[in-house]
Amino acid sequence: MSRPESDLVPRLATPRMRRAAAFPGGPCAIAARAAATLVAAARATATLGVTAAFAAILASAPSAHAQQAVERRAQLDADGYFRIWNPAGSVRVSTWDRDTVWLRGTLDAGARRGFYFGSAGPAGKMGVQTGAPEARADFEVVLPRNATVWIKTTTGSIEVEGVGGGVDAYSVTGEVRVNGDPRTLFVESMAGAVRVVGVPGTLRAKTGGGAIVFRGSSPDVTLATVSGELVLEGGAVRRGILESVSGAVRFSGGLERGGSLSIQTHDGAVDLALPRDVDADFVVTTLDGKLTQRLVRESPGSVSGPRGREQQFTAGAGGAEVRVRTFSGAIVVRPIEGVAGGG
Amino acid sequence: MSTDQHPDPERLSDFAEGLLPSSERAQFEAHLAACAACREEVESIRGLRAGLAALPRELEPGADLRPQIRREAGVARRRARNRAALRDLRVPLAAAAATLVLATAGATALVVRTEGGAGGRDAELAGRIAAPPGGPGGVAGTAAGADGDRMDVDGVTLADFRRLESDYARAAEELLAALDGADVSAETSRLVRENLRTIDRALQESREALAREPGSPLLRQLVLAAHEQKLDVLRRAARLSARS
Repeated sequence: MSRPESDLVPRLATPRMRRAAAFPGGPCAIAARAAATLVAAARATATLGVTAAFAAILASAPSAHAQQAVERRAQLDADGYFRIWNPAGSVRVSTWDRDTVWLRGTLDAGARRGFYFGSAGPAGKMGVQTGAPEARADFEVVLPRNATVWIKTTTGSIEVEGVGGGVDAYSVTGEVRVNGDPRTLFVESMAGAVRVVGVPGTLRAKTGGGAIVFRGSSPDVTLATVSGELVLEGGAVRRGILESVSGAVRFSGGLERGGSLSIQTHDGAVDLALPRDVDADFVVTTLDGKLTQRLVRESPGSVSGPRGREQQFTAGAGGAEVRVRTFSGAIVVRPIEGVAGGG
Repeated sequence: MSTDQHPDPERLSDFAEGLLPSSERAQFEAHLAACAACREEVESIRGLRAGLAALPRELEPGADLRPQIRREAGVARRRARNRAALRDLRVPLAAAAATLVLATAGATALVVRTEGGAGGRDAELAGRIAAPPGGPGGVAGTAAGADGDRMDVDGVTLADFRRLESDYARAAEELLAALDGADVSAETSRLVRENLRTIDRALQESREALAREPGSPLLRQLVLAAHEQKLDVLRRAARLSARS
């Protein structure tokens, strides 16, 4: 049975190839077509894409001999909603420009008994519902580009790339990685790290002990952790909130004109780097931490009193609001170069 | 499906969420036409989903909002989040109701201002703040509502602070008890307790410092932030532990 060339796209081994193939008019179109052609030509023997992808899945499975491959596809509206629940095992989500959800994965014997998959119209869901928490499954799912996806794992990692709708990703100990520009991005992991690269419309990321690293920009960012490190690097934010109990906080980016940035930690160190030309009013307070201010030349000096050590100063014309508070964490406010400060 | 045979709750949920294939949908509709209980359940699920969808996701109203508005927003959000967490854990309704009552007062956290100085009554208030919530001589153990409770800091009263700390502590206890009673993995439980230890240490340090400097807005803020972080960890644990 012949298969349209476009159907082979998700079989390509890497997200980069799939992404390129999904943009027929884009700069990578030639590469995408070449890749699809290569796969089609190789299919008669054994496609390179299939071989590579399955090899990757099998390599990540602890007992490959007990695994059973599964493949499903079903209709899902272009902006549909899809839920994925996988207690033990990984989930990888990428996207394409079709109103179809496509799944490929492996299930062990326990997971096979609880496996479900269904999708039609505006919504669909899949996962493993079993009383055996160790039942392992690894899924690779391709969704319509503007879909919204909800993913939850217990121990497995979550990787999401290119989703343009909303992304909700939750894991107890697994790491969560998201690349792309979802409209909204909500991520929680108790012990795993969270890594986000892109320009989400809204970002909320929370961890217990895992680090949160965000490289990109967003108008609305909240990062919260108990003891993990918080890192925000990249473009400007309009509204940023970074909170930790003991985790260090590193912010290196811009602040939109009239925006706000609030950093609060108990005893984590704060390293706040902003463009030298930022226009912002600062209130920097620590009860028992060292306070170092190198952003503006004429520092007002610290005022000590019942509220601890506090510096209030204005950079540029002011306007944006920056507040930093710690109990005993050291605070450094310093300039960075090469990032536009105004919005 | 006959009218006296109720569908599986999972399938009912699928129906309410529009996830059933059309072939099954017709059967469900026929059953619902004759079964008030299932109709009510479906409406309940749909109402819940709509309500949740309409809820704000965070407890961070804009800085420009007035305290009274922030207080109202905080009440609704805290109620919804604790309710959702407890529902996930399937604790008895009585426990949920108790926690919700506790949580309503929590919104006063948002009233705390960043400016203001300590009044002359701070010293005598210090001892009351220093004791843990609910403990002998602690903030929860003193009478509320008297004029003497008012702290000289932008109208924020000690009564507010006291009630808030007490509510936070009790809400955390109930959520923790619910978590203990739920089918939570040993690893999750260990992680939660590890996080709570870190927060409790920070909370204790802030409370001790606040006892020394009861007029410090920074310290009140840090104390309340630690309480909120503690509840947030418990709520997240509840969400993450739910089986779907």
